[in-house]
Amino acid sequence: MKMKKILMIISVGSLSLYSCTDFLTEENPNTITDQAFWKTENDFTKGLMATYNTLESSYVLGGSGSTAGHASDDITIPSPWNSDNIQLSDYTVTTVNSFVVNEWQQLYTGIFRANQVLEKIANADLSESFKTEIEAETRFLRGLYYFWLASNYNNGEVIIHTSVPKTMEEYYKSISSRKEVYTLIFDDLEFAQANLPKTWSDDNLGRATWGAATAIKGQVYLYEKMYAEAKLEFKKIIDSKLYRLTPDISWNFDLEHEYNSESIFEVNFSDAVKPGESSNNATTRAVACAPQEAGGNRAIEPAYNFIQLCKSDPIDPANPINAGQQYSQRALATICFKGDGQVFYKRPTEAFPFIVNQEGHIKKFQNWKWPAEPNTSRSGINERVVRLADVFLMYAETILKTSGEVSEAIEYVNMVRERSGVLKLNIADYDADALMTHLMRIERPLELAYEGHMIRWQDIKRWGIVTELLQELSQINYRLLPNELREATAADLLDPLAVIRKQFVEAFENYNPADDDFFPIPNQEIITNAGIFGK
Amino acid sequence: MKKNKPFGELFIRSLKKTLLTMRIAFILMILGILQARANDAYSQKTMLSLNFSETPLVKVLDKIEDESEFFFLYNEKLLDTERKVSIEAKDQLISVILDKLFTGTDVQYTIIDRKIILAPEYLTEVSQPQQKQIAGTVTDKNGPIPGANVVVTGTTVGVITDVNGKYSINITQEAKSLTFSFIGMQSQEISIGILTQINVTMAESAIGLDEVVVIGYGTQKVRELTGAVSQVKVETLEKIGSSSFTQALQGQIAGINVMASSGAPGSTANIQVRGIGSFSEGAINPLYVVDGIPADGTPNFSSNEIESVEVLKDAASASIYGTRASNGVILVTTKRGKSGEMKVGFDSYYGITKILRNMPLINNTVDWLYVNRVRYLAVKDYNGWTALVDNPRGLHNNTNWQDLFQVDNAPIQNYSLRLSGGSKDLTYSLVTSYFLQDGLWINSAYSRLSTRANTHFARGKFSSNVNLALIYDTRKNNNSSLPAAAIRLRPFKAPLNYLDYRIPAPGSNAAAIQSIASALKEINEDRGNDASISMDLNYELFKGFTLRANMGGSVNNNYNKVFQPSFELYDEYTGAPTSSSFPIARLNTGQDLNQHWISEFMGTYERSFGDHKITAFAAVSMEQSTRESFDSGKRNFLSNDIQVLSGGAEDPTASGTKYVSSLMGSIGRLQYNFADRYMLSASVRRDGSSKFGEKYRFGVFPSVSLGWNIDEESFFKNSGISSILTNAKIRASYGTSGNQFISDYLYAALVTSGRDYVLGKSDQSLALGVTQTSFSNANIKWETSVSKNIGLDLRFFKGKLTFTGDAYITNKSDMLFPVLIPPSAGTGSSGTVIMNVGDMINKGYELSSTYRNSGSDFNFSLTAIFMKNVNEVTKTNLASSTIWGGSGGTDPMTVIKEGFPVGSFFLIPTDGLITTIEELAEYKLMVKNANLGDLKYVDVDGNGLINDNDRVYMGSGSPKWEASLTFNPNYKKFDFLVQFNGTYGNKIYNAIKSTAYAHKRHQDVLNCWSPANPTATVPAPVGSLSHDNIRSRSDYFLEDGSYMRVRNVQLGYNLSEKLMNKLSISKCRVYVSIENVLTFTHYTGNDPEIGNDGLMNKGIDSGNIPVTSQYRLGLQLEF
Repeated sequence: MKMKKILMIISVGSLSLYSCTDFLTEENPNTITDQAFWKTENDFTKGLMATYNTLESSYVLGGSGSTAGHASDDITIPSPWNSDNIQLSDYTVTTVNSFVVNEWQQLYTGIFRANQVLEKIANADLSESFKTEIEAETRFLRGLYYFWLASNYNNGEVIIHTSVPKTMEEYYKSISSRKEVYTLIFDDLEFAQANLPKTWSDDNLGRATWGAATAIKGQVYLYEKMYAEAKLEFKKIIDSKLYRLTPDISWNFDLEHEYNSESIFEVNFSDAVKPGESSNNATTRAVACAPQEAGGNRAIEPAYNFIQLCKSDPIDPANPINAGQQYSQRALATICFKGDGQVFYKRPTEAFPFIVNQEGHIKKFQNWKWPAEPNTSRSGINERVVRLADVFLMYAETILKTSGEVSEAIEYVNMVRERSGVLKLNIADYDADALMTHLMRIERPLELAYEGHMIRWQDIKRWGIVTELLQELSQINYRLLPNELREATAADLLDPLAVIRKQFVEAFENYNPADDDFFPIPNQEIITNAGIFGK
Repeated sequence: MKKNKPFGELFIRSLKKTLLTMRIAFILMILGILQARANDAYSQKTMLSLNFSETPLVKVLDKIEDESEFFFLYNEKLLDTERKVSIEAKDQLISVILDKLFTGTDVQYTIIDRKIILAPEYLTEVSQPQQKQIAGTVTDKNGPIPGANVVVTGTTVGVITDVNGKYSINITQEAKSLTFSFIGMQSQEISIGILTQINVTMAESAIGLDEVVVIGYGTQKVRELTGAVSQVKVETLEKIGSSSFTQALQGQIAGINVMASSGAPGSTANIQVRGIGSFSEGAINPLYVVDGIPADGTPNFSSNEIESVEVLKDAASASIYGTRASNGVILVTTKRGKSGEMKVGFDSYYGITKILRNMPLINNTVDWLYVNRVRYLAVKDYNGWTALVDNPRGLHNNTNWQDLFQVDNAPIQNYSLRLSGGSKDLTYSLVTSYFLQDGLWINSAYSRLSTRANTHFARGKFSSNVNLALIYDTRKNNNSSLPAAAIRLRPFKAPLNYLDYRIPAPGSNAAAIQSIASALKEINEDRGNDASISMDLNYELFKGFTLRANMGGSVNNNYNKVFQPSFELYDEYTGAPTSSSFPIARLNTGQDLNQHWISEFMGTYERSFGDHKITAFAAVSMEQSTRESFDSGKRNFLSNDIQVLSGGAEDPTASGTKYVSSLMGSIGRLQYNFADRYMLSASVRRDGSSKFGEKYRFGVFPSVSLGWNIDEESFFKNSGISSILTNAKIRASYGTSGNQFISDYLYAALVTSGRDYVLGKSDQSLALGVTQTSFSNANIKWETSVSKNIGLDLRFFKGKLTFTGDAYITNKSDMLFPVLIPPSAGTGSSGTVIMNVGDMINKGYELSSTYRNSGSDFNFSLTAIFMKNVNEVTKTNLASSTIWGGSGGTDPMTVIKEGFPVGSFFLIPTDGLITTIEELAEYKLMVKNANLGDLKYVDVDGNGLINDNDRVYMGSGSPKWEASLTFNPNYKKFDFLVQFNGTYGNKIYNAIKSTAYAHKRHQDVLNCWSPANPTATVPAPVGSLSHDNIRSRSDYFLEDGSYMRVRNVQLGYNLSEKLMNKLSISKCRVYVSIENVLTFTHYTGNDPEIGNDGLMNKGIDSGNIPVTSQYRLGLQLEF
């Protein structure tokens, strides 16, 4: 009896002495903490790869980012059922438009990842050469992400984070001036340019190189209208002899010829390393643009004027590349259209029911040589961010803007044209202005349509020709015929049975450069960021 | 040859197959039970005829066993079975025969049902009793009481009075006294002595005063209570037909708000005790404690298993549960057995759920075309194309998708069997229930088979309770996109037969058909196993001092399977498969395994010295919860009948997580009672939790409460008032409690893998990427709640009229909240960091009053409850003065903001529509894309811009007050119940209506503004959710959510005693019940009880539930 009593008391007493701290300390068994990471070279490489991973994000250069963004330009129309893309096209974007919301959010996620690497590597006990290498790649990416943010949002006045937020105040940073933003971009790209390797081994292809940093830096200068500086950078690329045009332009949009001689920077996608529909290392771009009959969503389509432009790209009959062809190689690599006589997803183009007043489909970055896009909706085709042809045309532009030497500029334009079997420009026909107009209206859209970080939209807004283009386009009546698209004649307009359509009417009415050249800051940023407009 | 199906599934199928089968099963079940009970009285009814002379005893016994169902138990060594006996009996009772057989021997017989035990007299403790009969009448002031219990005190021997209140009972010499009892009357114990006639006049008991309520770690008499504790008994809960007892609490307790969490079958209700208790979603539910074991989350079991539910409302009562008590504590006590004869109860009901009203949609293709035409005319280069162009048969269709996706008259049924009884030392209760409900959306259903066995042992100073509960439930979930799809899908689309694996796809709609077909064909099932066991051991060390160990654990296992079968969509005309077919089936399976254990050691010392009574209590408690889960998937199956992972060919995926949290507490409490006049209770709990960083791990939660029974004072007794006001008590309390309902490990930042990149050209490789994806806060600490309560309990006319009122103020500080951080910080659009963001106050009062009128034929009770709570955020520590929230639209709708209730609506006011060109020109200066017929937003701050600065406070989802009324009259054998409840002053954002507007499907849109309809108030149709006409930042879709509802009407009939006696049934009640009979509201959405989780979404109607009524027919039996 007494024994029992004592036992009871001991058991209760001993429990209360049990170490509370041990019992109450639970380590997260799912992953490690921030403190335990960032030690080895391997850790930093992983941190860097996570920073690269942002490139694949859906609204950066994944499926939505690489398609919907083009809806703002003058050669693209959105599908009639995607209301967010219609807003981009009609210049009625709101602060809650999914593109506006997500591109912002995803680019800043990339910047956050970059800042983690940069902050932790500063004090890491690792070799200096390794640290510099990692830092160069990371800063390239951070600079690129800021460049894309600044070129799309709020006149380039965006929020700058160069470190990982630690206190409440650091979450709530205010917007910086455009100048500060571009200073940061140039700093990052400068460092990257100085420290990145010229090439990577085959198994590391996809990582940033000197060429990528140089070309992007040139592009930033160009967009900032610093033509002399831009020209210098493009010249470095050309002089480096690291790159040359591919014999076939379509190599730049397919799976077979990734990292070809023309490629300067690509976003690497793969549907093989993580197969299946959940893979976040593959892109949905192909399926987004494919017609429904090939398993796609046709989120964007070529505008009528662009189809006409493609048809009118003059081919050089003497060039064997054009044997038996009516249309230029680059036109056929870019889109398909009624009457092009081509095969698209293993069927004659005509076999596709062109509905909703459609006249064509986009071919770039699609698996159109297959019977259909894979039903996983995933594709492994890399996004080519910068390629040599683009650099040639940008270089030509900088020449025209600086020395104005038409002969040199036209040489680069002709290199691009010749590769696709297009008739070369005759120097006699062009002065600097005419050539610039040609670049703006014909050469760059034909060569670079639907590529990069919405190249065409960035081009027409930096040139300030959006209003002029939209005004022209909104006037044109097109007649839609069963096997042909054409500008409506006076007789067509009187024909009661004719299907006559215009495009860009709403867009022209709404467009106002001050409001529409840049996206607004997303609503969520405004409402969650107490310090965004200063305190 | 069909494969064998598990029993449970077969059972479900057979029940569902036809109503007939069910009825037969039902009747057989009842008959079986009747049979069993009837035989209890076997020995009293069976007549035997025997004729033997000088025959060995054993042969006589054998003969009796042959002739009857009796069987004998004896030890051959102790019973002379060869003894020659003679007997002649004709139609005699067994007892008479046995008397004859054993008169003059030392053999003693005992009849237990059909068993007859024969043993020498010296082995039986009690000598053969001499029978004595006592008779009499039981009356009260109104006359005889039929059905009163007359029991030999301390035994289970007893009878029930007849219709005239008369009884007669056979007693042994051992019997010292009789106990008379009847519901609502004071029990009386009368010494027998030499009496043979005992007439008793019963007095009404002072209802409730001596009742005991469960409080944290103990029980207390109502009279001694000092805190705000409310009790609901099983009888009340059982009247509501729902899968979970939580829903049955609605309208029963002052100070708690009960709302269904969703319309899905088998879902539990969300309960809020005294207003919103926290800022965090998911942290506003009270703590549930089932038989002393704190539960993880809201327990899901049936009312049939419950004896009583107590709600600890004030912090002083709740703070004994320290860290988890700040939202109140709900104590659930499951059924216990009582010593005595075995009791058998059977409860069942069958009902249907009828859909009364749905969102009115345009289900007519011509109407739909009209709305689109209006839109087409208003927009310049809208290309006029609709999927109808490509769908030539579309004009013939007028498909009502909502009807196709919903199930009207979905059945609900419940069967529950209960056995209880026991001896003095051992009592038991066993409840087995089977509940089945079909959902309102197709492919949804819930079934649950549960068993709870509670036993109590006592021996000397030692006693123990062992409780065991097993639940097996299955849940079929409809694809969550169905409610929205019903709104999105257009009426010109042909209805589809989703059972086929080849589905015709009209025109170019194949992709749209694919998503519907795949949502409809999806198989999504949960199967759960829940086992919990708890045990306490009590030992009285010395008089008044009891030691107790309380141990319990539960394992909850849930298996989920989602299978998306493959199917083919073929072209309506050519028959060729389209590219939108779904050729590859997918399977995902996963499992959650939750384990929880608790171990507590405590001591209680209870002692009275004269008028002083002291109870001291101390305890230590340790708890741990582990939650593990995994998920796996594969694609491409040989056939749609193969639904196991091994049958899949491609793309295996796997993932899994584990979370562990621990809690440790030490508790002390002292209760003091002076002459039942002055009561004091003080407690303190110190808790440590693994959810917080080392610095802020521990919290201390003290409380004190006082009570004063004024009626014990002589001045009160002497004053005339005591003849009217029988009892009066004042209570006051002060207490603190905490809240730790946050996720685990939040105090440390983590890195996440899987953010990989691809490198290389042809043989690409995955370069692993790891990065920090969220922010942490090492400084998070307890949310604390300090609550003051003052209460008044009054009883008039000896309890005929009772009144309880409580007023309270609860100050909550350091509220934990996952603050949305700016996307620019880099953690995405939903990145949050948990912070102690501010303070909040809840103040209010709650009143409840009951009037009971008893008469012999007619009696009734009427209970009224009223509660009011005012919530205000008093401080926010954030740089941003506004925390935004609220999902279901394009923009946030609700805020946490200083000076306003939590989850307040802040919206931009609108001022009708833009109807003239002049108005439009003026408005375009602010909103350049505006059109005629658009909503006109008010520029509140007058800065010429419409933005979030123009938002103003527009009420919140929390009602200003709530009330309920229950009227329960009984007339003779009939009982009736009608229950009303209602809320006033809450606002609802009708988000689902805005979706229906955006898809141009709401009936209202037919009457939209157009140049031809210039006086319309419905804005012009638009095609996008983010258009100002739809965007969730205006007040256009905000409505008054007040309602009054006839919640439940029930009519019951009790079988007459005569018939019951014949059938040996002690209770037989049949009833019909209708829930949600009538609702009065201005709300234009479906149901004003929108049933949402979380405080920021409390007033946002995401619209999954149509308005329904439930009709039930039930039967309650007791033997």
